[in-house]
Amino acid sequence: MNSFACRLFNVAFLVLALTACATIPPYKPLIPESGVACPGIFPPKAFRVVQQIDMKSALIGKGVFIGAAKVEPQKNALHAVLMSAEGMVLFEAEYENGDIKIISAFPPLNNPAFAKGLMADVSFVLLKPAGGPVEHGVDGQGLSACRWAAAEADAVFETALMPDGAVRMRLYGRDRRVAKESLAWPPFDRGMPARISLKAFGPSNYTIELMLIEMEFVD
Amino acid sequence: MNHIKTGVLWLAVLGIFFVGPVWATDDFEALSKSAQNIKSISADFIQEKHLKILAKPIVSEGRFYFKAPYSIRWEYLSPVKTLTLMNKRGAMVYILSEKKWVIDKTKSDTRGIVMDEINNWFTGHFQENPAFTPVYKPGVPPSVILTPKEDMKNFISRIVLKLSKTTGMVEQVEIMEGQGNRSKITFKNEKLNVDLPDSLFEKP
Repeated sequence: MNSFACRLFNVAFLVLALTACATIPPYKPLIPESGVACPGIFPPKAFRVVQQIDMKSALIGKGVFIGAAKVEPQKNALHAVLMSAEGMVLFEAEYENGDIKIISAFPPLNNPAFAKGLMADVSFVLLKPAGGPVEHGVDGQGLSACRWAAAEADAVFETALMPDGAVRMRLYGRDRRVAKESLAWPPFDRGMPARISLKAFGPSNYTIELMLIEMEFVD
Repeated sequence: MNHIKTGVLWLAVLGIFFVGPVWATDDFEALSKSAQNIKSISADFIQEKHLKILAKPIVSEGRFYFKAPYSIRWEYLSPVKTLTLMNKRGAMVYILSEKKWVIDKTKSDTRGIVMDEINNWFTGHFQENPAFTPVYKPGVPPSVILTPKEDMKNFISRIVLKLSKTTGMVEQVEIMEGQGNRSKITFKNEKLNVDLPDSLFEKP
């Protein structure tokens, strides 16, 4: 019975994995189309933001945090603080043009790999990619999409406007597989979405929901 | 004659130093004893989180209940709903998931340490935790400054507890962290020695 259950689990896991892969179409060049506007997903100038962060992973279960960040798109820089829901600072770091400086971190969050992953997630959802789009048009699903050269070598950042008004963001790795995908849900407060859900693929599978608490432009 | 004058002056100076701490210690002990007479507390609180990167603080609001000797309900109502319950069985942290309270297992162990500390403050046992050095400062309001010893220094530079001069109850807590970050928790609408059911500390 145990062996049967185990086999059943393996089959179910395989089906789920294949289904997950099947839902993400392979990377293809966009079909050029005139008049495609890139979704204005990021606030146009420096801003401060506070968000509730719900994290779900197989490793830690579900956790709730508060995130605060000061984002400076012109400098390709941000300063992020991760707090417990009660306001205790757990992690604080700066990011500028790919360089990360940890200011403070409670163990085990002081692990450089964790810091790199966390700051990559924060920059993925909050920082407008540098420069203009390198490609725009319509993707295989008929969605208006734009692509930028991402900060990571050979990676591609993509935005696409969904039929329900949400904006999908994807990061394709150098192997052109989707490394991260997020959905930014309206309403948008001066460019900042009310809710962002982020899913990271690969060995450290996790999902993060970011709910906007407040946002203001830096004077 | 000059020797006598000098001696009197030194005695006066020493007297100020000696009398000061003795008076302060008496006052401190009286306040600690007053706090130990508190059997239960019901209060609202406002927490301001000041971060160097933010122009204005993140403001959280919540409810606090305490029942001697060892029960605490610490509930954040906004902007993020969380709940910590402490009773004789230990501390448990809950988060809201799809409108239901679920246990946050990742935090429940460490939260017990924090709740123990809060319990010490509200029962007037300011010197219980060996990780902090307490210093009493008389004034309006009187306060206790807790300075962490070695391990905590990297994360907390000091904690200031402002006390009620009449009851010894903690009315405000200020936690100074590094990097210019700090938290200020102010209690209001306090009701002392009210009847609180045990269920308040056992179930969300």
